[in-house]
Amino acid sequence: MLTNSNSIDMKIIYIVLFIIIFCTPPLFSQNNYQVSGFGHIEHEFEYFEADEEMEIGWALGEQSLFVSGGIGKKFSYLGEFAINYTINEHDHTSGFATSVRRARIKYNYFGNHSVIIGQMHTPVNYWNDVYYHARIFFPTTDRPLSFAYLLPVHSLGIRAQGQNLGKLNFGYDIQTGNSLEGDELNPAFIGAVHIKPTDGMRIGASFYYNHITDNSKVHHMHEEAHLASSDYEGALDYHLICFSFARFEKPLEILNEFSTTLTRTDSLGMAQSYSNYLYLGYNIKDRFTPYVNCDFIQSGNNDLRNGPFNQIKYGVGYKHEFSPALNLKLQVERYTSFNKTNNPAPNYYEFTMQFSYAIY
Amino acid sequence: MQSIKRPISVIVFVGLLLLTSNFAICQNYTSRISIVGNSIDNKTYTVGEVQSILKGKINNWKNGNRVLIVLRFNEDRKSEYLAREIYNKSINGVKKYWLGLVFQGRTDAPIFAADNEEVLRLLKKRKGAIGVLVDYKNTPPPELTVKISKSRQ
Repeated sequence: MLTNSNSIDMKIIYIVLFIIIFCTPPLFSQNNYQVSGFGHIEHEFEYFEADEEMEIGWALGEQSLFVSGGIGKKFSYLGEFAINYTINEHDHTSGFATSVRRARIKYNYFGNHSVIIGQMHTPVNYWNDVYYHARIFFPTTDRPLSFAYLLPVHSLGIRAQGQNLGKLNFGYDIQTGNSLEGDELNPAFIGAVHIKPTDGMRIGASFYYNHITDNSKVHHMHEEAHLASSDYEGALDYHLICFSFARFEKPLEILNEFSTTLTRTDSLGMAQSYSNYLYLGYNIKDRFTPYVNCDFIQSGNNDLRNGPFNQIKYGVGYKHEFSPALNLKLQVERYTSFNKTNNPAPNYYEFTMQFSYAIY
Repeated sequence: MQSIKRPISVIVFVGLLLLTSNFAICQNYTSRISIVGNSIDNKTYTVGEVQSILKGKINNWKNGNRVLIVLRFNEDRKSEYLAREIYNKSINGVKKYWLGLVFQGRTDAPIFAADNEEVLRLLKKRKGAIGVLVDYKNTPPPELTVKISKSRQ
């Protein structure tokens, strides 16, 4: 979190970033490296039923600078740096925060097989492996609920990757990196596979394991992630299994992200949590996409990682693409819970208008 | 006379069969699209192989050179034709496709050249580059020409 004294520094960073974007070669240009930018601006209206209160306001979303380029024949670099406006709910301060989302060097040692070292997104599911932080690629205005509680979004480590192998375009990612609590002594392991049987379709599965010694720490999850209701500070084994099905580049667009976690503690044994996100959209002429979405999460009473929690949201939306670099999404969602005894989430409605853009 | 007519009809039939069959070798990708390459693995590819390469599914050639895609691509009707024939997409669809792929870090960004001459100029400078020309009036230099075989898709 930044204080007022840092605001001048932030302005300088902003100026430098914009100079970099506008003075460097764009994507698809003739240079050996490219710089581009992504960002979004949104307006939200929320109505809470229990309190009969509403919240309304504009929000400046994440602004990202994206750099990529080749380093000789076999090596390449990719970096993604973001500036975020954040509000600290504990001390009610606000300000801009910078972060390195991705910074990695890729060594393409043979054919479509590579080794990647650095900070990267975990390949746990389609969303995290394809969309990253760029809202312009998101099919809906926000991420699945599982991102707030279950998924490790980032990882700092080493990965072996293969892609587009054989007729089914098989791909694999095997990775080890820092743990969810930032503990180097208990690295996390990820194995992910996928196939792309036709253009625009990808079917994948992944397994993630991490031994967490102190459950109170939340690292490598996204900035709004938190533990739903758990005060547990002890050790646990965290297993995450994900299945993804994505079908795009056809009029009927489908994305389904299923996640389940198995956490094991000495005191309460094995506990299971589930989450599933479903998006169905109908793309008309590459420009107009009405859609529906449904997303739920449920964690058990004996799940000491998150604590008991359940929430469901469903809604309708419309995406209007002005160009590949600019789109507008309008979305109405109903947030509620489906189990009144298991720490239910509050009921509310949310309307979001989101402009997302890319500069390339 | 009868004995001469029969071989001629057989030759004509076989010739027609070869011309219309999948064994034919064709110079261009389509009548309007030519493929050119500099220091890439082969001089002949099937339509399926070229589509796969141009969709960014191959990172490196077997000869060690990095794959660099150069498309004659802007906002005109010729680019519309290229987008439909190779990517089965609109111009915006192709841009979106590459924007997503590059952002994922899975492949290098292609170069969008303004015209055929620029494609050839860039191609000559970069080993491992494969380019697409649309409605090119002249014949591409023989050392850069990539033939398209329609035999195995």
